[in-house]
Amino acid sequence: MSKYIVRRLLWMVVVLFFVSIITFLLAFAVPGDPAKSIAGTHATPEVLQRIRTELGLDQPLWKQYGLYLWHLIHGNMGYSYETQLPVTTAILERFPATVMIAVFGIFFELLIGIPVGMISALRQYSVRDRAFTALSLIFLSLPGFFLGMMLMYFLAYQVQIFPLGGYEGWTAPLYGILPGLTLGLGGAAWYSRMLRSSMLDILSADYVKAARAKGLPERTVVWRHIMRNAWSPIVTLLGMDVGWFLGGVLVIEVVFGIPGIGWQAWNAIQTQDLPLIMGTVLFAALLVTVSNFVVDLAYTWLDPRVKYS
Amino acid sequence: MSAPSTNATQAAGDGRETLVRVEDLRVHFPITSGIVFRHKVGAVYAVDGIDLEIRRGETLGLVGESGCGKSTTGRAILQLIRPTTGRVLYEGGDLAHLKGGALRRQRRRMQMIFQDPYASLNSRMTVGDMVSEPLLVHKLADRAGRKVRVRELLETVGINPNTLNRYPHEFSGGQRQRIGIARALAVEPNFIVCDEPISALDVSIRAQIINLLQQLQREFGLTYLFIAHDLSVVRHISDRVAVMYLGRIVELAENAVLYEQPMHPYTQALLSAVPIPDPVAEERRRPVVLTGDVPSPVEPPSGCHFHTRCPAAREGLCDVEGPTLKEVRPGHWAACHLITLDDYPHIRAGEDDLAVVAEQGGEAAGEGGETA
Repeated sequence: MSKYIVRRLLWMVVVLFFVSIITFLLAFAVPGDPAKSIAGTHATPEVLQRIRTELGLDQPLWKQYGLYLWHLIHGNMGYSYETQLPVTTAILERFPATVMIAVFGIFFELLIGIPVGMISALRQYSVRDRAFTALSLIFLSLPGFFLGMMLMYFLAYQVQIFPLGGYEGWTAPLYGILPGLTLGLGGAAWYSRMLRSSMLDILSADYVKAARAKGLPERTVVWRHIMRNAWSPIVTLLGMDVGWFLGGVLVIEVVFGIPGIGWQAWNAIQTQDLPLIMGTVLFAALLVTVSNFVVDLAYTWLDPRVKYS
Repeated sequence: MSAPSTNATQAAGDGRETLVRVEDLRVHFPITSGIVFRHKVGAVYAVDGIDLEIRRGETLGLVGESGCGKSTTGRAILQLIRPTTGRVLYEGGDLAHLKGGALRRQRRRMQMIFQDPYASLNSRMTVGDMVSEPLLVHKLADRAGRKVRVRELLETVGINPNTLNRYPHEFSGGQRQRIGIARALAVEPNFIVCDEPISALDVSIRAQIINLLQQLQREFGLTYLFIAHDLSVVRHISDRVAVMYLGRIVELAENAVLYEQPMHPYTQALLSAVPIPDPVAEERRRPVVLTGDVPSPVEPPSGCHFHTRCPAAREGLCDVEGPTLKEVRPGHWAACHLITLDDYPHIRAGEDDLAVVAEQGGEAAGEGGETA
């Protein structure tokens, strides 16, 4: 098991290395001149040249990447062109807002998705099941920005329950509810569909019949025998969502004006702030690989048949 | 379409009392259509009017082709599938109308052993948890008592009691089936439905499980409904055998009688298909080959369900009216119009296809004629 963990950790480094190469190349493939966006369109050629020398932009690409990697290994993700702040600081400063949205998003996904999925499976083809199926389809196909704006219009503008947008720190959790709900409704649709189908598979299994034949109350049959076997797809989805949400869901952050890492990355893309873009992408990739790793470890705990070696 | 329940008791003439009595049991699964507005468009007549009596302490074999409804019958008796109509009397009390707690309490008395030992054990529970769970719900023992009992049960079925903290995937198919048996025995049931308990096992292990089941029956006075499609296994283990075809019972008799003197054309065909482990006899064996497939239980044939494939079927009789299960001779029940006709022995002797069967069970033809 420990061997497995070490191997997985090494693979994570490899994955991040390739992510860094790809983002680096893509960032340079984008037309435009970072020096120009820093100095402004009216800068003299001398100024531009000086900026390029300072940032190392006049060096060959492989040298620039090598230098970047060297700094990265030492924990330095570079400095933002725009603010001159270390990229690490910039990301960590914006991270709490992103975390709040992610927490609310996952909370709503589970809160809505799990009961809906369970009811749908246990009452297959009932009126409720069919209503949930229809609603899931709607929420699966609604784009996040549209759903976000609708929620904002009805629950923050027409009926002023929640703030329109923004972020006031963790002490004002009300700001996280609408963005969280936007993420959560779409996610809950996925969760409920996955849970429904995995439960339906299990419902017809012989060991569930055996559990009923034992004379167990239905509640025990559902929780101890069915649900214990039905969690796997939920855990898989959860692992992906944790990584994805914490990486900053750009659209949601922009719609609700939340100063998280997603919004920051959005600005960085517009100003061609290469170190910040690179840093955010690498950071998000790290979160995704870590949460995938955690999910794989969780399987061993959830399912005694899973053994890694 | 109907096979009305018979008044005479199948257990008559035998000293043993009836433990389970099934009256006009029907299980119809609705077929629905439409996504938004679901409506019933038909039904699968899986079990279509069954009358059965299972005596205390006996093994009643239930045989038939795949899809004839034998497993559904077993499950409906245990109320794992609720019957559409009909009664299931356990020691005189109707199970089909029990609900909730009352039904759960009765479940102590009857258990099931499943066909597939891989699908019938919850892979996320340890063997010990699985076997002790029924003790917990029925409050049969306290914590310490449960531990002792689980070890005892595992030992009874031949599983090392020290493996109780292991998970099902750590056991072989035969061991898993033993664990399933231990789980069924935990509540000290009187009646066990064995739903093809050996057909998913390796041939080398089958005999072990059969012997275990027989040993347990002697030890605990169990009553079995033994569902199988393997005729020789059923012959080995059963006291009486019931033959099912398309949701109905066509013949029921003592083990020896049914195998030696089958009366129903379907039973005769079924038995003639069993190879004989004797080259000379095997050479002479002329199986009755039934033409066509088993009809769909969605649209069962009119009259006698078997008339579409019966080599002796009579137009205007078999395709019009469904025969009832009648006691043709003491303890021998059959549902066939032809048996009661005066010329039934001639049919059996005259029909080329059936001749060999008549030959095999020579006296059957004669005796069948006498009773008619």
